Amino acid sequence: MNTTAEQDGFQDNDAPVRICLRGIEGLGRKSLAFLFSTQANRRLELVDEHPDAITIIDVDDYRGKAAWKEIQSREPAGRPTILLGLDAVAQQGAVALQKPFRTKDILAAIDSLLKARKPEPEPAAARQDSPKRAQDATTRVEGTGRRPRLSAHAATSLNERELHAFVGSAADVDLDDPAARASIEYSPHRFLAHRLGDLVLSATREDKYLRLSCCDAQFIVDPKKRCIHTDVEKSRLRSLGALPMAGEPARRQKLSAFPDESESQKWQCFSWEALIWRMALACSRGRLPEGTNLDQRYQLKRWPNLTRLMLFPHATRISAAWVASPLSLKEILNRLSLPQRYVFAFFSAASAAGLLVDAATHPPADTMENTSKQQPRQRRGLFRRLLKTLYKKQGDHRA
Amino acid sequence: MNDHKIIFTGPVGAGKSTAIRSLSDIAPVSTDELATDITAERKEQTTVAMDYGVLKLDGGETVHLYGTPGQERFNFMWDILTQGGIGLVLLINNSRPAPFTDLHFFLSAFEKFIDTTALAIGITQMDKADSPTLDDYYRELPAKYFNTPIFEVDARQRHDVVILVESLLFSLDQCLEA
Repeated sequence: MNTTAEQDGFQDNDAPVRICLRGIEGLGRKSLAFLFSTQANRRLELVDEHPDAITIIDVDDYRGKAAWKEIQSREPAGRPTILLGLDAVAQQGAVALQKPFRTKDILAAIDSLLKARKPEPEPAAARQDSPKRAQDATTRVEGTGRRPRLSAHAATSLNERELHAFVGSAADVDLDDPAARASIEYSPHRFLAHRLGDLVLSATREDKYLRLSCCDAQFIVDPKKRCIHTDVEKSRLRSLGALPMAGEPARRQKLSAFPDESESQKWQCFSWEALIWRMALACSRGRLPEGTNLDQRYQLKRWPNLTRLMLFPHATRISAAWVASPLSLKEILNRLSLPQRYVFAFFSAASAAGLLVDAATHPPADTMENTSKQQPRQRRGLFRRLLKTLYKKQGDHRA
Repeated sequence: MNDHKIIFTGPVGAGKSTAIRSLSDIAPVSTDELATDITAERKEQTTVAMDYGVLKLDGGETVHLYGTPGQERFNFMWDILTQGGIGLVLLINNSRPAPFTDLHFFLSAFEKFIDTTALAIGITQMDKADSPTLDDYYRELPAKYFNTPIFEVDARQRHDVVILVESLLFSLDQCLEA
């Protein structure tokens, strides 16, 4: 049985070392990104934010200073950090590197932090890649204190690392509290997924090939094959989706035909729905695009092609609810009683892929004959047992 | 003890037998025989009666998986087969000459059953024929089926068939896990 990550044509292999940069923009950021991408024996991946990430901070930059203060106040026990500065001093467990430094110095600093990490001993029983473990992982990440639910389908084959990377682990927040609300928002226009989503819309509308050049990568939207050609390797796609594009000038170009250059013929081609869905999950990590109106009603134009997408817990159920009737985020949270991050992750992915739209622009359901039927309640128990059986055996069939 | 059933239907070569094999707890009882009519041009064997598989639930209940015969001369069995069914899984082979004709034929043949239960559609062989697309199928569906799940499916992959059945159940009851 394929894991969920493999199902959409993408695959994460060994766990990467995640690196988060603070106060480092422009040329400095690009230089480090290039350095990390050339390290064949280490898999170093730049991320926006991650609980396991090593943070590199330029303390000569005001944003870096603020980030370091925040880390000190938020995590007094310290987190793996490298402080870069003209007068950087090691403190609170952080490694300091004085500028100017050589590439081997920063790689050595990363290695020293990795060595200092104490791997958590794992019970022998848990080491087996059993369905029980996968189920436990899902349940543990829930962390809501609610009765463990049947996790949705291939959710049982999502491991904890993938859940973190694509759905995040944030607890529910009070959506009426502006500060709490701001903490679960991101700027969609700064992320590639949403930029590609816009590009697909234009390419479809104009029936033209469109090229986007940004982040040292090329993307060509192909309206004929409904796919995106790119020179980016699969292993880089998630980090590219997770990182904000701020400061990166993006060039957009209309093409009359698919370029005949020999190089572009070797590019990989991904279903645009699968690529954008995956990248949007990576940038959302259970957060909402900023400015989303929680009371506005949305509806799915059609079911996402879930058999070929990165599937996460509850995605099938959320799809069923949002395809059946127009619902606002508040209504769907209320109806399904799910942790917010699953609904927000779905919202981000489905809206970036152009599947979830403002209900006002979609033919209202009441003009169509709604065929949704509620079989007698007594069948709910049967359905629940049937789902449980399917999920359990899904785990059993993992290779 | 109650027994329940899910019906798999679709044209010849759509993957009904394979989908049931992917889900079933028992070796499916298949009644495939060497095809002797026009069907032989599409596949060497065809289902002349029906396929049968079983999903055993905790507590001893059983969900029967029935695949309808692939040949139209057995259509008389369909009404009997669907009685008491949970829902319909329709598989359409995208590489056949007129998949939309197949779609409408089966929607019409099972209309009464679908109207009282639910429908999930799996499109097979999309790796061999990428047109029509899923969007094309949605455009082709009668308006009353607007919320029907349609997925690209490889009937050999249990994962795909599970999602089809899962979507069928959630279409019937979105509060299932609440």
